[in-house]
Amino acid sequence: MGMLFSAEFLRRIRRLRIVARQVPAGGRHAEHRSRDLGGGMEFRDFRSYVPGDDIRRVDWNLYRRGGHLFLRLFEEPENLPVYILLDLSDSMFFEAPPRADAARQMAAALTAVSLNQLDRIAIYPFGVDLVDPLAPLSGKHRLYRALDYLEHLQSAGPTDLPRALRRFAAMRMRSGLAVVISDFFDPRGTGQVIAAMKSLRHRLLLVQVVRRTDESPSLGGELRLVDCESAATVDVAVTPANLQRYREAYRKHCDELLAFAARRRSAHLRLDADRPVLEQLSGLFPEGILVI
Amino acid sequence: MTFAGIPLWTVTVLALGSAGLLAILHLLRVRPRQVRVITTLFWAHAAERSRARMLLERFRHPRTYALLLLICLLLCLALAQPQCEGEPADRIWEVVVLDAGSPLAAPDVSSDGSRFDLARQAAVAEATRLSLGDRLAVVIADPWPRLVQRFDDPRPLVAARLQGLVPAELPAAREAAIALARSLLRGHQNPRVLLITDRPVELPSPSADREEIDVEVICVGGPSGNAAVLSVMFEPDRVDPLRGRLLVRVGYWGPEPDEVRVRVLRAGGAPLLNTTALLDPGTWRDFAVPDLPADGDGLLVQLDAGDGALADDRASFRLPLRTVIRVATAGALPAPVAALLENDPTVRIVGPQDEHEVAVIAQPVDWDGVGPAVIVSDDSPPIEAGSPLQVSGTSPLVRDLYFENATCGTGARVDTDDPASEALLYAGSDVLAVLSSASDAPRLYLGSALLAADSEVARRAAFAVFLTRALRHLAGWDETPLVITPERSLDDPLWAGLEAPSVEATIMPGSRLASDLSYASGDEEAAARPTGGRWAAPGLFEIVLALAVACLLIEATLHARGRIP
Repeated sequence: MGMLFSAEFLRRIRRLRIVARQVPAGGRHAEHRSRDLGGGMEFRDFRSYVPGDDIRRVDWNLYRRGGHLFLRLFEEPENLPVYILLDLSDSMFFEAPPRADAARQMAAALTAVSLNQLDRIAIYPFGVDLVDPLAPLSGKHRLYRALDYLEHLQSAGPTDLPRALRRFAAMRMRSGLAVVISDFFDPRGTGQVIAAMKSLRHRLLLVQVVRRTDESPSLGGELRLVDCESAATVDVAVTPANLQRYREAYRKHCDELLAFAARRRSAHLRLDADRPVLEQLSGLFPEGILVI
Repeated sequence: MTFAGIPLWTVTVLALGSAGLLAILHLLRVRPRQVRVITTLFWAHAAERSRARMLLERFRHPRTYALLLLICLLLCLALAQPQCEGEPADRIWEVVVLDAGSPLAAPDVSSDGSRFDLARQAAVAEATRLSLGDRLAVVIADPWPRLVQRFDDPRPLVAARLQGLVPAELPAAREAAIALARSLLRGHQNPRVLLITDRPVELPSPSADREEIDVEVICVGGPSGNAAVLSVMFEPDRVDPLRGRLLVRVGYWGPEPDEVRVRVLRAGGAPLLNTTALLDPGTWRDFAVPDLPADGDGLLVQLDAGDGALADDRASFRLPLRTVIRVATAGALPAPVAALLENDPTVRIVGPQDEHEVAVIAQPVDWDGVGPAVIVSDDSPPIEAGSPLQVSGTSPLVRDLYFENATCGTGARVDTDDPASEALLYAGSDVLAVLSSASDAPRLYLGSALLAADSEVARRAAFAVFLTRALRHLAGWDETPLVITPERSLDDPLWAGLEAPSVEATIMPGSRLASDLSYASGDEEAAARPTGGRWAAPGLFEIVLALAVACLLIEATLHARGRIP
């Protein structure tokens, strides 16, 4: 076990649960309610018997009272596919400690929670494009493999978040929960990122990895700012007026993300990279349960 | 290559100065500290709005420095108006000689300005007409011909330099100016001298041993001749002072004799005079209107002629007003006075109670009337007879009167303590005639010694003239001779500086020397000059200037597109 995921970290995240209101049909047997009817414990409905039905599900009490054969139908609990889209661009590894650490811890937490409740988990790191994904896993014993995978992820170059999201949407995976963990700093602008996220048919959980210096940068004087990914430069005199304009632009970016999440009824978490992830999970899992 | 606009060293200094200034600005430019940030996404927005307000922003890039330096160098070079050593074969070297003599100050008939304004416009038009490759110089022809625009000076300066010039008050030395122009053109190909004046000039015949450059003449303004009303005078008749004759003096100046029509008009009546006369240049003639009543009427003298100046063709004036003087007498008038009053055709004697203009009183009659009066004083102590009469004062009443040792008789003198009175005649220390102006009613006091039977004075004609003048003065007659000269009668404000014309002076407005009267009837058919522009290949000046502008546009475009800061 590496530095990222301590035993204490794993122990505490076992208490967390993700509850989906309903999962689409076609999954494997698990804990989430689904539209599928099958051999679960939760009674759903009756229907008339037709030849070939399992005779063990016939409600004999009804037959005794009415003389007709009815079958008892039960809800089939199924698993929830969780897809974690993890930003591994250079900006996530830029500062110390890198935002990628908090992002990976967040991904690990979600992975552990999902595997614990028999859901299926897949991790899709991305930079300019999707890179070296972790194939879907299920089963509690696959947790250490997933953690090991996360532990060894490296920087994937510049960011092209819209492209990565469209590539993921084109894969037509079973509808589930798509978790986007990123700083959402894309040179193409917030509008294009949001447009790409609209193309996802999954429920969304946006985890925005932030730092306090994002909103209040400790800069001053005549500066030539160099983008850590594209090396693009911007000459700027960091005056109070310019600083105010920067803050306005940053807040607008955050507000647009929040507004999009609200429209999609998706969860949104501002994950501070400078604070322990476990403390902030309580915001995402009130009373230990994240209902999606 | 030569530098026509400014010397080479000036170009070098300007270029070095520009380069140095730009270099200093470049060195002093803001050097930003380089900082890596997680994203420049939001900073780009903040910097975009602030960049446009930064003065030194344009100096932040070496490419900007290089471009601006290039632009400055090109502009310096363009300022120098570089020229190739080789001269185009069709280049015209022209000297415009602009006549700025006194006749050019005359207001032009056909325009609002003076003839010099027209000449100036013609010179500017000529500068515009020439192509860019041609060379133009301007010589001002006033009494001191001089060069005001050199061949090397920028052509657009011609208008500004001519704008500040005014015609001189003396005739122009046109021949000297033309000689100066010819000397400037010596050694050049396609030389041309253009004289802009208001009248042709007769040039001395060229010398046989030297080929002179022809002079083309542009005449501006309207007709070059001018007829003018020099003066108007009313001469009272000797026999009947209530009438007189009007003398109108008309002068003419021009290239050849001209017919001048003179009309004297009275408002609401037929012309008093309407005649035409042929006047030679530089001469004048009097036109008389006889037997005019001095009734105070307004008259107008009007000239009709092919005129170069209209302002002096009209003279309006008013005739003197003279009416019969009603004289009321009182007391026993001395015989000379009574005889004078009876024989003066301008006097009518009326009774003391009748309406009158002047009263003649012989004391000791007690007279308390008002108004002008002649009072023969007899209540003063007598003076010694035989004293010679003397004339005193500067009053018009005694002007040009000579009594030639005439003596006074036995009688009284005049005693007056009026400070506003003026003693006119006296004998020894005794005053015999006093003109009092103390009140509204002037009065003439005469001592009886003047009019006594043994007085020689009373028998002199000069005394009769004195008494007649006094009566007319007291009656309010204006005895000042009526002479109206143009500078007094015309409304034209441009005429204000003109002196009174005389036989010797020209009547051309603005000119005052006799030399102007000697009009030269030389070449009146000035050669018609071809007009219209001519395209020539652009010179180095235009090419360099165009390059500078192109670089400026490139720099602005690159800046606008964000290629350079």
